[in-house]
Amino acid sequence: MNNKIYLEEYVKVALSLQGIEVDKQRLASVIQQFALLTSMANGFLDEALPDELESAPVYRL
Amino acid sequence: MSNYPVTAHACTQAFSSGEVSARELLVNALDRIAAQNEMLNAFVDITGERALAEADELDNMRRHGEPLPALAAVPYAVKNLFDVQGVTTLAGAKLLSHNPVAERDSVLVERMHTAGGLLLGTLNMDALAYGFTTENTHYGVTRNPHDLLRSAGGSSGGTGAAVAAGLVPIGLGSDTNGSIRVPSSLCGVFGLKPTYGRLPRTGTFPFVASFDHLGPLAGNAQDLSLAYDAMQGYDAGDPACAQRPAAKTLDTLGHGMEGLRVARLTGYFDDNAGAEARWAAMTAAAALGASDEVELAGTDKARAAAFVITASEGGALHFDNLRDRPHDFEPLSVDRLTAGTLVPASWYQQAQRYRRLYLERMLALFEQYDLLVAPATPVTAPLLGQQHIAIGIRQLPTRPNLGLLTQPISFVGMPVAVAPLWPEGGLPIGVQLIAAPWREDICLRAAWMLEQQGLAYSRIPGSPS
Repeated sequence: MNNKIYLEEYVKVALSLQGIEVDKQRLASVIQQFALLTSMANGFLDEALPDELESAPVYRL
Repeated sequence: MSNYPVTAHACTQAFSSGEVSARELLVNALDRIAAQNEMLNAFVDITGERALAEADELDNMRRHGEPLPALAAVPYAVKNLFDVQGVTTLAGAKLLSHNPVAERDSVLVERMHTAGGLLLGTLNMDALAYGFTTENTHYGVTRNPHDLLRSAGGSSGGTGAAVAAGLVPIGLGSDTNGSIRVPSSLCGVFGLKPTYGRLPRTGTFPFVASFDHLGPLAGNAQDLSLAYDAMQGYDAGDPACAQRPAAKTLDTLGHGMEGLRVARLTGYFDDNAGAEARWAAMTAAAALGASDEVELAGTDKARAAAFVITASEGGALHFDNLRDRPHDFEPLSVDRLTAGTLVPASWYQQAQRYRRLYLERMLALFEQYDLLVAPATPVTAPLLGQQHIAIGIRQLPTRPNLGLLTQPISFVGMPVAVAPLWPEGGLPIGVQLIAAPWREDICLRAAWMLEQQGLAYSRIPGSPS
């Protein structure tokens, strides 16, 4: 099984879990969009961040 | 009067001096809209009756010798995600079209009213603010006044087009990932995205609460400053609004660049810029006396993290409707929003924590410099419907990538002014003038300076050349 199949399965299961129904044509498009998000996330998920670096509940400067 | 003023400061001066009435300024603006809106599709709703009442109130004030506010008799319009009393807040979405009309104005519209503005209507945008081209399936495409076959940018595309065509001197927009800066760049007008938390968002339809900003677009730096100054101040209705005193900018515009340390951002910002964008940033940086070129590490990751947060928060915001009413969504973005609902919480959290790291790097850079210069868009306005933009030898999908250069900056909330430059070819492109948090004054000074040097300007019909 390759990553593409994992990704397709994830999208189908996660949609189902949330009660979102999409037809076959839209499913292909949602998978494509999620693949883009996955590739974006892979750009920063491996960044080692210090434990004390927290995301603020309300972001303030 | 035969030649009516088209800048905000000229409108106010002409009105205050008695040369023209508020009603005349209003009627003239309505005539311009009537003549051009069918072609541009910038306005969705026109609030002529309201503006007439506002104009008559100002004419009465002047008649009775009362003090006149800073934006007295200045026509303006707002992106249609701002609440306007008596108008349904569409946020560009058919989905919201059956909502009741707003019972009161958004806080910024209230403040523009208090400042003497005449609200002429609400402006087109990408549906739910998710897009950079204002190609709206339900409310139509907004066209770029400089080339009707091209995009006005987005998502505040109606605002950019209305200001660039001279329909109104000032327009209000929102900017989550670049939605003020992209249309400013592509339409050749000035824009200000203030520091995150500076202007209250109370009474506006949200998109990504972590990133949403509001701000003005205008035909010159002085008008931008006038509008910005009129809208500042804390409001408890927006939990992200900073409790800071207003910091007026108008009187600081002429301070010039003396004492300011300027650098041009390179690396990511060069790699993702076409030839015109690089030319604009280099030209502006040189004119502003930039001493250095600097690279900000991790900008590609910042953009990626902003992309994921946007999809996740946007998808979560519209979750119920994505499940129950998907057919009422904009076809161009419904699948992106749906995919956003599937983002694992750990990705979202990592993206928000990375935001802190990138902010620390950005703030460290502002220990060395007061102003950073970068292009606002990778390219000039693409054709409507154009699927890809060319950056060097790369072809990138148009819709998500017009914000490549703006997204990392709003990710950490820095204030940015956009000033339009005009490379060969006749289409404008903007530069981002980025300062440290709460230093909108520096952004506006730099924009004003580029204008004084004749490098940045808007080509608005009827304005002095």
